[in-house]
Amino acid sequence: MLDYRLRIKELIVKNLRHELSDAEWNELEVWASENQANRSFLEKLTNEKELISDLKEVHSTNIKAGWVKMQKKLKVVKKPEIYVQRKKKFLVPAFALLSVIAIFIIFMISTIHIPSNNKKISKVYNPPAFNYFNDTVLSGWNKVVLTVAHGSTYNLENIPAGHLTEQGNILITKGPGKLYYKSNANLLNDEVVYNTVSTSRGKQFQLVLSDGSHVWLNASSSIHFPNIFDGDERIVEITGEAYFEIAENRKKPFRVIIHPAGEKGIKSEVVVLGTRFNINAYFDQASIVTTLVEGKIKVKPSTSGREFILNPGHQISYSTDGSAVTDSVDTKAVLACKNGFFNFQNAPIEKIIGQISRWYDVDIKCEGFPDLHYTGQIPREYSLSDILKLLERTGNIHFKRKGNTIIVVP
Amino acid sequence: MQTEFDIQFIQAFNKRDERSIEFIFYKYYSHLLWFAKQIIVNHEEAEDIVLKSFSKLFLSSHNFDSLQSIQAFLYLVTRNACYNYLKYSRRQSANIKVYHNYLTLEEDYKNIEEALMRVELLQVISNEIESLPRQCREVFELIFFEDLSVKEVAKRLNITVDTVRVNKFNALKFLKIRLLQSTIIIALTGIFCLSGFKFC
Repeated sequence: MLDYRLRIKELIVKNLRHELSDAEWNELEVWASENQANRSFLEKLTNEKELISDLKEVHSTNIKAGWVKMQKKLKVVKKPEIYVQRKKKFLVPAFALLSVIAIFIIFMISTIHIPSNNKKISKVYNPPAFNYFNDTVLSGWNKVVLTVAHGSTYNLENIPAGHLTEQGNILITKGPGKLYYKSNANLLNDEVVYNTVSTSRGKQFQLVLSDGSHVWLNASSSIHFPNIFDGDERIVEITGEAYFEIAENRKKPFRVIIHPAGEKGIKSEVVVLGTRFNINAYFDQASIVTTLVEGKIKVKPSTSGREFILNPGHQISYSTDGSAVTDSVDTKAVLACKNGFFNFQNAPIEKIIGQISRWYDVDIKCEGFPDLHYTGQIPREYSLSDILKLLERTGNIHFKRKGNTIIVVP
Repeated sequence: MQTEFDIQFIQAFNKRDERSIEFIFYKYYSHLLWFAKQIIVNHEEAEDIVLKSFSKLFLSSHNFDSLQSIQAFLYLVTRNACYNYLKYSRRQSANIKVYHNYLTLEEDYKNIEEALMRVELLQVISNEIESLPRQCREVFELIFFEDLSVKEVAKRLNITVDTVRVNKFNALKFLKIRLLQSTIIIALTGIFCLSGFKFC
């Protein structure tokens, strides 16, 4: 009996898919008219009202919550070694010169780490996967967040200045708009913890990394970095826009890996030879632009492609199709951001709008715009309406406000 | 019949590319969960079984040649897990009382097969709905899954009431044509149409 029901199911499904032959249709009809049980079974399976009602139930499932659980499950199974190491971890702090509270903090915030007897492994760059495409950045959020190796998050604006936490012998201290990672030589350190600082629109943040390098993170950007640079190189990953002043260390070159604009792009890299430079890699721009202020850097538009060496006062733009253009520029524009100004050197209106949108956290729509370029410098403290009025004074552009959206009209 | 997308997708999936994994999860999760709940009732247990099925799929190195074979794999694994769950829970009389109402194992199997048939039908219909043009699909889902009135849909999607009606009509026409081929079922369309008008 069961076999025949399977056959009938096969026929019904074929019917729904438009694949029923005449002979098969007959078979179905004959079976249905055999007895009432069959007829009602068929009807039960094809009762439209019930189908819609069941479909409704199916479609009300929270798939996203399920996906979050699924990802956790997949990560756990893929990296069993880390589970084992975590157990061992309980022994090591006992021998370190740490207070009981410090041990508790380390236990709470360290989720993935590399113990000292595996120091060799940490010399190869193998951090926990940095997944930029997560909800905190894509949905409208409004803060600066520090994430510790996929574990705890801190809302950096709400936290008062002063000592924040410790990761091994690295002390993390918060100043106004800044975060300092300092090495405390008195304490043992055998774990490298990866942190991510992300800014939403309208926010920016400054970091001092454990090697003394300064990073200014602009709005809608993030940086993923280890609390201590263990290994042969100093490597960080960014999205969005960041300005760097890198502490010199000839033994450990500094590398920045830039995450692609959009999901289809290829990662690109900048190898630093001791310098000050800016990387602009926002999603809404067609190309990634890296500008060098001082020193020397090597840029690789795709991690396995051609390399360009930049000298001060030069800039390189490249996009996903592999084309790259270098140009000499006035580095004022790049420094201005760090110094609290908007600075545009012959910039097209789209670029200006992108910056305004990110800085003031507003949506901007263009209903046609002038094909003009703008040069000028405006303090970032200006209110949105002041800046818009200033731009309007050039005569070629007008702004209208519709709720939370600004509309640009020529 | 495979489209260009199907071929590229299968290639990516066989490499277990993260985005194709997510795509498969989003496509089948809610149906598999619904199915498991028909048998197991308890939400947490059902969810656990379904996540295990996906784990088996995603962590295996098996090469699939179509979406259909992936679907078949998932349903098979889930069905077997449900069988085993019932078998195991039979050994604990408390569970039997709560859920089985003293059903025999054969009757359990019958229920599982029927639930499976039903969910596969639902999956087919969901796939059809997914293939509707975007606005048509949105209108259909808002009316039939979220119980919005035509006016409310117009407001939500920022379109006119007439546009909503046209989209609803087209959605029903499309789904009916694909779904309701034989005369057996056409007899039932009368009911479907009438209940459809209720929402206007």
